[in-house]
Amino acid sequence: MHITHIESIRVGEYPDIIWVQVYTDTGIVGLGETWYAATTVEAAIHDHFAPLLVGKDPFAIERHWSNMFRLSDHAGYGGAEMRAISALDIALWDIKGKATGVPVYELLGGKVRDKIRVYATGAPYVGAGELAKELVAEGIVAMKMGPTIVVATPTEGQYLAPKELDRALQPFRDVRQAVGDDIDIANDGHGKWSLPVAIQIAQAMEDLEPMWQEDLMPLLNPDALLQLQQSTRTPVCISERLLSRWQLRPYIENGSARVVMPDLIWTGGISETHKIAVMASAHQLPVAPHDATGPVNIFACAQICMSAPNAMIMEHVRPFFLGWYGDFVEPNLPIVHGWLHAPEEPGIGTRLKAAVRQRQDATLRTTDEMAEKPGLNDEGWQGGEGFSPQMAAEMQDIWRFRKRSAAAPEGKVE
Amino acid sequence: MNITQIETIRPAAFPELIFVQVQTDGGLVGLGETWYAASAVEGAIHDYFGPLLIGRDPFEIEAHWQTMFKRSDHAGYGGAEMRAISALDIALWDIKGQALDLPIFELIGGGTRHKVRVYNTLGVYGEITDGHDIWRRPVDVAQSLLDEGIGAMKFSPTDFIARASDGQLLFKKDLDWALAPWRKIREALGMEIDIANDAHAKWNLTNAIRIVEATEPLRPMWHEELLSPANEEAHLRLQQATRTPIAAAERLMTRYQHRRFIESGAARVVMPDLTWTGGISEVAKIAILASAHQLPIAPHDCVGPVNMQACAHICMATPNVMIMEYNRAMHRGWYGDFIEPNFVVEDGYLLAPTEPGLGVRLKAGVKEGQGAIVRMSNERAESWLNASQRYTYPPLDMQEAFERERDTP
Repeated sequence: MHITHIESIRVGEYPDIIWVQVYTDTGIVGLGETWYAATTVEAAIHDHFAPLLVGKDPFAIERHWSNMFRLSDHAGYGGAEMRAISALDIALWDIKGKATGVPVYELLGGKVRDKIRVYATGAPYVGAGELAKELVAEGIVAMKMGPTIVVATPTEGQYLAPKELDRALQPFRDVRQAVGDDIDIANDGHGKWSLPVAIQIAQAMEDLEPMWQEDLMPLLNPDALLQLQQSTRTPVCISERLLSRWQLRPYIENGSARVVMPDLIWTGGISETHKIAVMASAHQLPVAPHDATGPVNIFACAQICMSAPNAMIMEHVRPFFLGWYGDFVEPNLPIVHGWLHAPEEPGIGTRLKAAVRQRQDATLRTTDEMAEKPGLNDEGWQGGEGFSPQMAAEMQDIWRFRKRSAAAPEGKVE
Repeated sequence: MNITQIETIRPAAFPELIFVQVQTDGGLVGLGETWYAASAVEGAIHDYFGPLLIGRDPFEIEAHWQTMFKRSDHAGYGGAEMRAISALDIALWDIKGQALDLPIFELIGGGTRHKVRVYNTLGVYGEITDGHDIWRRPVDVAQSLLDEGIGAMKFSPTDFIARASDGQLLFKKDLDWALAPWRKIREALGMEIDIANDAHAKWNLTNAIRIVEATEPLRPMWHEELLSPANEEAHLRLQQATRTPIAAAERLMTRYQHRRFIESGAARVVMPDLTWTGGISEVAKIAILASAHQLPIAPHDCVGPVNMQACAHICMATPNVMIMEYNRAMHRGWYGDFIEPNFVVEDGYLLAPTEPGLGVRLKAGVKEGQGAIVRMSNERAESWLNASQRYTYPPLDMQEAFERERDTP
């Protein structure tokens, strides 16, 4: 099997989301997704990474990931390039699952559970108590809100008057008043605060027993975050903006993170989220994958949640799930009574609806050419003068192998 | 698909070796192996872990690993139980690969290479007497490896001189005697061949540091287990005393023990033994952990043929693999008596497995071999050993009421 072409799809209605479809000569199509600065991601996919993949065996996911990462890290990895890699990685796993006839979790060690609890993100400042009642009635026993975000703006997060903090926490109290302890509540700070204010907020909220404190500070300094964790009994959560195992590592190792929240479609896809979950497991920490972006992400996260023993709970945005996700993918997510169930179909478990590509507001772009330009291929430097015959032979051999798997792909590494 | 039967085979000629075959109702058979204290492993497989697996879906490898590990860790994980888990884990991956018609490396990320360099650990079996010859004709041994395309070797020059004092006292004269073969190779062949030292944890820190300093002019590929890996801080002091990479090796069990050596900087080469540390599942995790610290892994062998084949899958799928251990005396001497097809080492490289699953089978006849001890179990655990156990307390009706209230809206 080999990759024939790669297509990206954006729609005007949701300008930050981008889907990628990786097509193969067998007719199997892999679906991936990412979210944020979609036009930049589109350029990264087509100008940078797709030419590395076209003509290649889609099964060699780890090799493709490493090649793409190294190419992007030539000038400092991150941002749109990591999102592009993430989307492509999901699509490759989708292809592999479909080709082998199993859900992706079977390719990640197998199923450790049949379903995982979800929490619902987002609550109105007024009416949070009513929402909590609605959620509990639906079987959803955890929610997340960010009531302190708005009060950060006037001071850029450098100062918070006790009175304003008190007012900001009203939705939390409303929930406790409405449903007592029937629901867990996480606080998302969106990285707005300085260290002393973050400590002030975490301590002020302790009596409300938050499920965790997420991103009270921007995740720039593991030592600073450790001070926050040491100042509060509430678990501190490191979240979506850390990219790849290399950025999550210092927070996991120094004890500043008690909940690990990778965003699959930003941090490097299924491959990288799996690695992050493994690393967290060595520190006996849970992962709680991030969402709030698009339907394919949750399907990909579901594969991690079913296969990672240390998965804690899965994020979802209820209005997105009930609202627009179903316009784009089929089947929609198997979320029932507060649980996300294991996707049943081979691959990641869903497809982009056929009509999406025909939408008036859709922007499609396709790449079907292999990289030939120097610097845009994965063949590396092909050797030079002065090397030992063995080294030169080895380089030539690797180069020939890669050429061969590009030219005459047979689905398996020889 | 369900697991129907688990069978162990201990061949008479190799009393430390044990094979396990996991059979399914679909007819697929998964093969695993481990080495050391085989009768204890046999007991662990049949009395502890087998009943947890019978009647279950072999695809749920991670879940089974967790269940077995938790069961063993109830009284401190390690030893024979970890080896039993390792062997069973390999067999489960074998089943899954066969069922999906893919080599295992395709199930753990896909191929990142199609062959991996090997180094030869000097052994003695049958006609191959490298382990003896190195003392009498060291240059010939090195040259014969180079002639085969093998550019690296490992031996244990300092083991013997540790014996008299149990590693507590090292005379310079003894060390010079022990390093003489190595020096002769360097004099005759320069740096044509890379040489690693495996010291089998015979020394204390003081002498270990003296050995690393004395061997620096010989440019070792690494020093492995000069110290027992009991204390990562002592290990770190050793690493800080030398420019030679220090390997944290096979007797570390699971990612939890490897973690401290990787994170503290005490290891520059990570050498898990797949059949001891927790199988394919756990070695894949250790490799990931090492990758986050930009460290290579170099899987351990010298135990049995199935281990080598399982390591081959790790080597093909893992970007941060440095080199694979190999023992030509064992490979050519007796591995072929037990498995088919035997794995292929060509021009100094171990080649990628090509067949689905593990890619090797136990030869017909091994079970029937003279003196082979075969044990079989096919009964499912129904007691608290069972993975989906009910707890003893609180009373069952209260447990059920709790779950009803929690799980249904």
